[in-house]
Amino acid sequence: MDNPFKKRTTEHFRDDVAFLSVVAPEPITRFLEKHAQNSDLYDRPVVICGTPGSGKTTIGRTFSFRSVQTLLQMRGNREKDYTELVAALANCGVLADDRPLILGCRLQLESDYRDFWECPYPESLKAGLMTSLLQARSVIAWLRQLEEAGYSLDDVQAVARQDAEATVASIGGTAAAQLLKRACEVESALYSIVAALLPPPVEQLEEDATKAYQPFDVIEAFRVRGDDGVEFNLRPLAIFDDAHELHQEQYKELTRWLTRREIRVARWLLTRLDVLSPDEVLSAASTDPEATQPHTGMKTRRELLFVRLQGKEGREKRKFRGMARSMADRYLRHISVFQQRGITSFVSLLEHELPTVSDATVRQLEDESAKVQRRLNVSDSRRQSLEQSVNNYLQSSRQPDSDLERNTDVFHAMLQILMYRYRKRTKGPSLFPEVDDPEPSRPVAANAEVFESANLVLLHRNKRPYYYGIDRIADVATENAETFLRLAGELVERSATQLTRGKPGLLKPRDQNHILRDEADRIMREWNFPWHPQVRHLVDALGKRCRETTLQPNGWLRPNSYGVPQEEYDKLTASRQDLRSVLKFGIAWNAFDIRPKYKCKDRLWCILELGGVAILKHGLSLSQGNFIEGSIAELARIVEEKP
Amino acid sequence: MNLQYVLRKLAEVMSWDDDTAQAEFARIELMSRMKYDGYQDFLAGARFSERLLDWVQQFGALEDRKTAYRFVRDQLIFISTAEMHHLIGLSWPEFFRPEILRFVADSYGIADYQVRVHQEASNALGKLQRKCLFIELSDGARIDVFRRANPGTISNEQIVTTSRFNREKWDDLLKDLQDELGDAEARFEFVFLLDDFTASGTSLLRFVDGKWKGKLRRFWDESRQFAGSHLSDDVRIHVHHYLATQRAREAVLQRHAERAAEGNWFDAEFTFGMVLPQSIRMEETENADVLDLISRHFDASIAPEKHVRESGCESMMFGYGDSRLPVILDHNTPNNTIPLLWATSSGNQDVHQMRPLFPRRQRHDVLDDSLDKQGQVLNG
Amino acid sequence: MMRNRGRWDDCVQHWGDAAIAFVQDFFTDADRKVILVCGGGFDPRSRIVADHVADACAKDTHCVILREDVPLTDDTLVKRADDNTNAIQARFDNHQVERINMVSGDQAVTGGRTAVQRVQKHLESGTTDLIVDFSAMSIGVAFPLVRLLLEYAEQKPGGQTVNLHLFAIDEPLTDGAITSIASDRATPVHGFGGQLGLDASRGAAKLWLPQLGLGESVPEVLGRVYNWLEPDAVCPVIPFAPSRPRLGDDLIWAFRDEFESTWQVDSRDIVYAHDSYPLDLYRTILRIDDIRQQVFRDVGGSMTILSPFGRKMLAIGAMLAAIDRDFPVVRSEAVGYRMDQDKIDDAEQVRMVHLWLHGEAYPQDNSKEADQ
Repeated sequence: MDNPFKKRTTEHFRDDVAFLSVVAPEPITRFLEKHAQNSDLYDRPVVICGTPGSGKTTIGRTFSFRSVQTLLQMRGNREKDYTELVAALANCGVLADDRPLILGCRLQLESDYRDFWECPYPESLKAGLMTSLLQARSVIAWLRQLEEAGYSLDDVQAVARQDAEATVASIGGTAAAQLLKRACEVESALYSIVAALLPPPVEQLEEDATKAYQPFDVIEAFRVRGDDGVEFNLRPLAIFDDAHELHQEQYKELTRWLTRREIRVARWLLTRLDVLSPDEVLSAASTDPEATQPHTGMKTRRELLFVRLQGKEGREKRKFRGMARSMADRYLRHISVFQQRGITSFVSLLEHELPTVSDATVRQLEDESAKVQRRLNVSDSRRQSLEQSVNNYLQSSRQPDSDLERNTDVFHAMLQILMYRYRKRTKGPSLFPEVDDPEPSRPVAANAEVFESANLVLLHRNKRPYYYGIDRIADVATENAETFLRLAGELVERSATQLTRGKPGLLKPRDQNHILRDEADRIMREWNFPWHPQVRHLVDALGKRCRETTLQPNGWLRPNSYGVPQEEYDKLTASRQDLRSVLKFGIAWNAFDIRPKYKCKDRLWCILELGGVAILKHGLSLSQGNFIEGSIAELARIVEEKP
Repeated sequence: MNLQYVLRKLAEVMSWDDDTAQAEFARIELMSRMKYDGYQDFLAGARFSERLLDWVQQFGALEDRKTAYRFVRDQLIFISTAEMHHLIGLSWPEFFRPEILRFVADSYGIADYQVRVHQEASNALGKLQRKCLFIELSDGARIDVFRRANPGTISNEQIVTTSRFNREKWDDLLKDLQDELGDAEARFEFVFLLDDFTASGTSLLRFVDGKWKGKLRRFWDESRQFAGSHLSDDVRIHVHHYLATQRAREAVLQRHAERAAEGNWFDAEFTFGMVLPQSIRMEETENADVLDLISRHFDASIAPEKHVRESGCESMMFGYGDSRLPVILDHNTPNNTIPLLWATSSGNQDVHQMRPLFPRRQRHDVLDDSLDKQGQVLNG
Repeated sequence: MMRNRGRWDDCVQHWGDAAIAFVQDFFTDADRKVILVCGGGFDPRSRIVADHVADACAKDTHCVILREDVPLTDDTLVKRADDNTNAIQARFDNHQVERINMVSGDQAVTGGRTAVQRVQKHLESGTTDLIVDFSAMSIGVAFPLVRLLLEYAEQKPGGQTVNLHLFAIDEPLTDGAITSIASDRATPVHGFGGQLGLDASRGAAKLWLPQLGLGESVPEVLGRVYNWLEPDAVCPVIPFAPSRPRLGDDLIWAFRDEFESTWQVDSRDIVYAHDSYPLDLYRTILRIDDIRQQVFRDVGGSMTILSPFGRKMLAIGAMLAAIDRDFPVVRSEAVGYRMDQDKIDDAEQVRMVHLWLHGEAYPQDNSKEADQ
């Protein structure tokens, strides 16, 4: 079955129309719109940062002129609704009325650019060669896209900065055809340097490669005459994707170069976090907008705009849920099995009510509760009051699955947790329970945490499903579109299988749960990036510890993270090179995330939060906040173990 | 038929749960599309998935169906048209030309790597290519494909599309050769005998009832009269199979040596495009469940008793000559393959009625010598 | 369609005993002055070719051992590499070990670039034969190295014919026993960028020929190359391996998501290549390219891009095609290795292969046309 979810990233939709039909407008609205309002998006260099699969390239491609042009042509399409996407782009100043305003091009910063760094030339020359190639290719991309869109180069003219007359000649003039010709000459000369088996000696470098070439300093806009004879201006935007492929020093050079006052062209850098050295990644993971960008030494707010495609707070999480839902619906429409049956909503495939617990299970749980009561010497009256507390919680809570009938198992699991908590707060079981029903040091009551602990205990002990329903599926993707699509894709395939079998396509919570967990396990087995064996080993070791803690009878903690004292973390020195690399690649590939300076128990902690895939695999809580207290030494020891 | 419908029925017949159905649907859909639907004896509306549905239903017990399905899924070796054509394409550059080149080098007393820069040797090599004759031993050899794979190198006049041909054809071939080279003394220096598959080597050469039989003997009987006239005195014979089993390779080499020891025989070079390892044979130790299934679903009437006996074993149950192969070729299934995969029988109340997954065209019986003489032997 | 002749269509090749006999016969000639470039790797195949060359002409050979330092590699493998390097050194009086840092601090793969610069220093006039032992070198090093030596030989330094020989040990099981930790980026192999990304080739229809391999993460790693290349069509190369007749089926299944959803591969798109005959893949690639060049001649041209993986014989075939037609070769290079010891010890049939790429075996008036 051709399952578009398995394409995972929207980039795999090669055709622009197909691509745009699956692009969700939410990331644009969510991450970029506010910056467009004060024209930060185009006046300052913008660094857009995220893990692989977080949607950087989708944004880059959506902002390219080709997509905008296609979108404008597609607006009238009745089958597909592009209104939201058009509105999102309009709010970002990409288009207005029927015309594009921005001439965006996306360039991948592939190894050609990185290779300049390996040439035996002075650093300033290497940096110059790199920026010349970037500029030449941007010019080529802008003009070629205009050509593809049907504009004749005769109708295109570069608008030069007023004080730049002297340098106009160096870029080939302002006529588009000449501009393009010059850009191609420069590209060819520069390419022959990086592509050579042996780098040519400095003195043999071609003039085309070394002569001053700074179109970004000269071009302010492109003046284009449309079919209707009306002239309009387009603001050029260069989007440099995969900037992490550059050498750190090149990246520094590039950001410095992009912040130069002379540049009139809008410019974005899309990058994974790990363009930085391990230390720098670890501090950049903080989203503090005022933070000094360690890799550039520049104050973020003033000189460049830093956008991270991931939010931390619950509010952000909810936004991702909406985005995931809309993305899944768009993908689903491409699958014939669903199309034929008029199924257009991903959520409609997901059953969210659990079946009533079987009598046998109820009896078993009743026995367990009785045993716990006996073992802990909890009086009947005390038990009754605890039961009351659980019932009150279940009735009043707005948990989607808090229906009492279907929660007999949860009821017992919660009760057992409360009995353990009660006993702990009365300093152990009394020798004379009949006469002794002490009050706990602090009140023991059912609440959301107890409810979640009970659910997780039941997940592990009774195979009660926990990971099901659109929200949890979106949450485990930890705001990574690719991970979400991959997980959702397995569910969709199962639903298609059921339809093929003549059954309803609705997936039971039990099936959702196990399909997602199996897929998580597969994703981790398929990891292959630098340090992945160590990353996997670390994730598994921490996941196991978290699970053990989660299953403690008093259900006190539901950790999915590991904390080390901030001061220890700050001293992560070169002697822990391996650990630093493991952390760096683990973060880059979404295995975990770092939250520094988290205040808990009057102490600052640096928290290593497991990624959604690891949480799924190990059956952990999706809520933030609980972590295992640990140390750098322990992390280092785990990393040193042979995976 | 709608694939979805067939898959639904298959899931019912196999009692698959959803997990299994999801994986197996994907596998059947993919493998049919990529390979199995290319089986040339499938008809429209009854390709792999439909055949599979029919095939598994001949087994009454669910456990048997599961064993049968696993066998197909995990052990079947299906050589597709593309794979076979690829093996055909390898023959000239990797097997035939190097031999000719070595021959030239030896003739001029130079090393093989010197031929290309040795003017005379290089010229001789070019001529020698024309003095090669290519004869197919069965229609499976697809000699037309062989020719097309080597355009500009091998001409139509060097190709013989039947293993048996009369003096007139021999004369035509020689005349074309001499005309083209402008050399009235020219003779064929190399004969390449081509076939697609040998599983046991039996149809190529075998010793039965005190007599040597097989395609090689026949070739020798019929062509040696042309030695000296059409073929050069020291013509070199090269027998090439695109595909063979390890067992067949050993048997062929051994029987050829045995026959040669008796005298009045020819030297030959034997090559094989790809040799299937011994490990593909369905041995008892690793396949007890499948072999048990086979033994319970066999109808001995699929092959006449006499012929089975001549193959040197008592039953066709595990394929001709007890070959026990799980091999399907795109254009037909060898009889050495386990009959459960290919046989059709009428059965009766005591005997199982066999239904094929890959129906085999039964054109003749392997050891029927009269048919054998007509050169229609397929595999064996 | 009659295809254009490839430069190595009729390459001099020797296998097994014939290859050994060739070394013993050819290199014992006292007039030979040889440079042998081989890998001092953990691969058990590292020493075989060097041993044979040493037996034939140790005293007339300058042996350059490339020791590829790959950061994320098991200690046991590093120890093996040390042992192999020492053993090779011991066979030649005139030897030099060149340590190549395969991966720079920022995880960029720079080994190929470094290797050619280092080897170039050893090229001295008066050399009659250059030997590259492909067995224990990574693709990222071996490809640019062969290209460098070929370009050098073609220049006829000092007006003298220089032979270029390529040797490798063909042992599929060993290839299967080594798994790599991939770089997280896809890059052209150094010197094998072709015209990729240049405006001049922007309109070319991109055909990608990835070589498939088994291993849970292989689809993921090849997916990285796919994402980067964004090809217009994909024709996966499936090894035809006599030792594993079901390998092709296993590969099709392993890449099911790619075949069905991402790459959209049809059964007719599959390119089969025999894993023992390097020129088989070479010829097939050239044939495909010929057809596409003709089809797309007037509509922007065609660009064939290769991604060899794993098996040495197939990698050699891909390399020769890439050199012959200047095809880009794009890979996610290894930044670490792990070896399955059990599989290594199972290794049985080891066969040496010799391909004579350039020199006196071919008519010299047109050195680029092998045996026309």
